[in-house]
Amino acid sequence: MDRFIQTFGKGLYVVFMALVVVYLVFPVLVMIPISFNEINDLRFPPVGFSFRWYEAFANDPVWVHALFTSTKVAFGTVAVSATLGTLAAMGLFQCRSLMRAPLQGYMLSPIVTPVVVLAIGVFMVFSRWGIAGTIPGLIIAHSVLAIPVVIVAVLTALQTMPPNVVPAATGLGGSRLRVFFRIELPLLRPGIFSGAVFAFITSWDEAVISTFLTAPATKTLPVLIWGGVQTGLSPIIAAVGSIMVTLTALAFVVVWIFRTRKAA
Amino acid sequence: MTIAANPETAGERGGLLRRMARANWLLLALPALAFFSIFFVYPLIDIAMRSLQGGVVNYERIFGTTLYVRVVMTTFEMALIVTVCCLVIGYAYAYALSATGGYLQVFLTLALLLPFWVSVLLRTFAWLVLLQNTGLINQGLLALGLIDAPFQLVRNKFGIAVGMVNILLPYMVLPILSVMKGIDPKLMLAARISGASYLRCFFRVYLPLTLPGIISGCVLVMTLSLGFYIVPAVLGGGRDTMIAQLIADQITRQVNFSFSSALAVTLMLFTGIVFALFALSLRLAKKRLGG
Repeated sequence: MDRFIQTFGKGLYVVFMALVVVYLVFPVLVMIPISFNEINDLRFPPVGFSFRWYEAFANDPVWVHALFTSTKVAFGTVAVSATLGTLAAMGLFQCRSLMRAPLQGYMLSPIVTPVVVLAIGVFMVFSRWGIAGTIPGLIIAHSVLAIPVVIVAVLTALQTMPPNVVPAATGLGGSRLRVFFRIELPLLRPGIFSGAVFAFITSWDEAVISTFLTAPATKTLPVLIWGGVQTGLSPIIAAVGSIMVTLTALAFVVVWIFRTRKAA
Repeated sequence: MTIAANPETAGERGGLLRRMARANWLLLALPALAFFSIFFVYPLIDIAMRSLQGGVVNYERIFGTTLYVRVVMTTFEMALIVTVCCLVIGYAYAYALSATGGYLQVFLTLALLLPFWVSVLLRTFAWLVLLQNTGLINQGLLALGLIDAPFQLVRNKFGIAVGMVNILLPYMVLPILSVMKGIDPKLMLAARISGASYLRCFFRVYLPLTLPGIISGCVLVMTLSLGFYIVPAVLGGGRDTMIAQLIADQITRQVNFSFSSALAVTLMLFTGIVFALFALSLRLAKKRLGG
């Protein structure tokens, strides 16, 4: 009897886990087949097969403009957050004083701040400064969210760096700048790179702050999707969503390859 | 280039250079610190100042109006439901991850982390498609003859919970997993050999050992879920408004900056209180384990 309960329990557990995996992955994957629907409905399983919603996306100037805006903002965010985040992570890593823990907490706190709170704060302040609704404004706001992501990635890379290379290089007479550009930066490149990719995704997906900060001329893709979800479910959203999911997966794969190649 | 950080020469030239080399870290962190002070902390201060425009009237209005008190209650109710669901599912998932190896472990890790990097908005959108009356789940149940009419799966608390648990699960699994990895399997074996039943073994040995992970996971999920905006806005109904939606609505629809700010401060305060409570219990749990 005890044996039966044990086997039965184990079977139940396996089934439960399989269901959880489906629950986690299904909503991400379901987007792709839905986007190939032939009819004007988000049917799954899809009816027929067509690229008509991708064509509709490509032929709609509003969506195309949003695609460009999103890309510009994301690359801007990567530039700002990768620079500031990498420097900050190196600073934190070198810091040996009691200040380190509170400083690190301070610099990672945007991650746990409710994004709506951040959104209204930034909206009110940026409106006063006249940068609400502009692309630089969006880049700055997204960077607040992206810098902590870069810091985490670079800190992880720093922790795996051999500890004595920097003293060795300086001991051999390298200047501080030379050591930074010739030794530290190359060693940290995988960490900075994955941080930059995650920063890109953070900006590329950001919807809440962007809805507050965009003017009609600077709408990003998530802002348009957000509007679309509220007014009516068009299969164009599924097509855009599929493109975004594919891009995210690609970024993930690139980071993965980069990391394993470095380890090899 | 003129400042050689060579430790020997720096030492010869006296303490100043040495001190500068040591203070270097501050210089490196300075740009990010300045950036956060201007674009992160200052907006938060601005919110706090605005919320106090005209004294505490805004706060009186929040806690004196049945409608707003109900929103706060709904927020906590949803946070609690989501935390409990995440704990049950996440604990089992973390155990599976810690007990398996090889390809299965890689597969389980990918299934957990790949959706993590897909935007919350898109996943919520997918749930709306799946859960609506004409969606896959209702159509499937209808086709199987299990139900006669479509179930109302969205525009209610059930829909919100499905969407939020889906997004927050990794935040529960990862802290628990990190604790589970550090547990010596011999402990369980010893308890079994000493004659404890499976259940007793789990509840008296394994569960208490994973308590720090459980608490960390719960604090993350709970504090994050208090501020959720997109999921309740898309999957919830009119009666399930959460505080984050109220904050946004007060700006976009009512254009009431000071009231919205007061709501934001209230949300931050609640988040802080929940965090402090959990931090306290984590300390207690660790003390008990250590003693």
